[in-house]
Amino acid sequence: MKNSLFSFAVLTLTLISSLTLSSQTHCDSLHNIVKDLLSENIYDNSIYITDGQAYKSFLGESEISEISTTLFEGTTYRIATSAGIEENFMLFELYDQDRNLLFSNSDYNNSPYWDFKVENTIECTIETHLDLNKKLEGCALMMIAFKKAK
Amino acid sequence: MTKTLHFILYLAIGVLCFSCGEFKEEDNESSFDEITHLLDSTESINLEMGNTIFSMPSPIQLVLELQNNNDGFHPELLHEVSQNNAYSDDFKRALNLGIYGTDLAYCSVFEMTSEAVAYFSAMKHMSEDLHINYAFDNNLIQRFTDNIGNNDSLLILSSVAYQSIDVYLKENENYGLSSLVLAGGWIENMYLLSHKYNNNKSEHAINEIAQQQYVLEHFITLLKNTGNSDDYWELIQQFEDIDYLYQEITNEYEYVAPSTNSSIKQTTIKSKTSSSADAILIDQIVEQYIELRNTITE
Repeated sequence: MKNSLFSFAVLTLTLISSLTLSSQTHCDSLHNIVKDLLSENIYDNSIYITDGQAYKSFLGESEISEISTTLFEGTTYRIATSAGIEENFMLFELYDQDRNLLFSNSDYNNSPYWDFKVENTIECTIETHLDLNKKLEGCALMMIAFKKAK
Repeated sequence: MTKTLHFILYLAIGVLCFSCGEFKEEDNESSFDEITHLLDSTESINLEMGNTIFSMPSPIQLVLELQNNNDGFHPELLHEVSQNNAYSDDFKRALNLGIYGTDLAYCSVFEMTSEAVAYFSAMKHMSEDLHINYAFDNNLIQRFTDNIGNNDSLLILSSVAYQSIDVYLKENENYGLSSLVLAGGWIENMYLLSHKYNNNKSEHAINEIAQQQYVLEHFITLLKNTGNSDDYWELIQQFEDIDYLYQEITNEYEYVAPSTNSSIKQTTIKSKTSSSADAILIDQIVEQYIELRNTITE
């Protein structure tokens, strides 16, 4: 009986660690997807460099991830998001400090990335959530990068 | 009991095979969703305060500003690279790791390759002292070595190094150290910007310092939520002293409708901001930034 219980415990632990590994693989795969979005469709001789932070969250059915940031004048930023291999799982909106909506990717077929040319430094909030018509929950990743001329 | 064991054994083998295979979301999406739902408490790696995540400006972006303004390279402003093993506690190590990160970016921006290599090496040593050397994996080191002399690649790798540390610390739920590395990087940015301001007190330089008020306030909230030792309290006090000066600045904001060019996926944000900052006040603010940075590196 003792041996059976021990085996049961070992197998349960194996099961849990396997689940963790597979979940980690899923979330890690988003990193490369978003990284690729940062180099997509660049029309001039420039590159996008990330701010050095990865904004990863697990989003449930009605959950919104809210990112507070300062966008500096004279800079073009790219916001890129992913919640899986399909490009259009994620919705994101950009609001100014008075909650005026500046942009929503839902107006552009849930585009997974968008560029923002900033004329004056502003405080803003980026809200990200899943498009519930396409995905109900899962790991989501967002990156903010700024444009540098080569 | 034997039947139960057999069932669990088959299930475990099945899951192991599944997790070792190539990930194909279309086939397994619902299974993944169920699995990740069970594990959601381990997934979030952001510095969340309530429901808000704070995004801090890139150290690289701020040092690029110095290059764009033709301010020139000032090696005398950089933190002494040999000091990387001079700190005895993790609090100071983490702050100085951030400082070295900004110095690495500064050297990369000005194409000072040998200096950049020295700062990269210092960061690696310091990350070993902090037991976060896994953030500097062999792949990153190899890429850095391969790209010596390629300015843009070094810049990107500086950003990757920062991100690697950030991700590693957050995945290991070490939010305190993560916020200190970010804070250290930003303090060094402000130190460099402060010296630039002292050399040329133009309206642009005044605005550059004034515009960092919100970033400072984000850091205060972040630090209050990630640490509670005396060291944190002291650092927060120093930040709040600077914020006290910033409170004298009146900021005005006017919403202007943005314009979008969907063919290139770009929106221009046209809202206007202005501030009442003047040189007398900014003089006091930069003096505090310089003092803060010197206290951390000593």
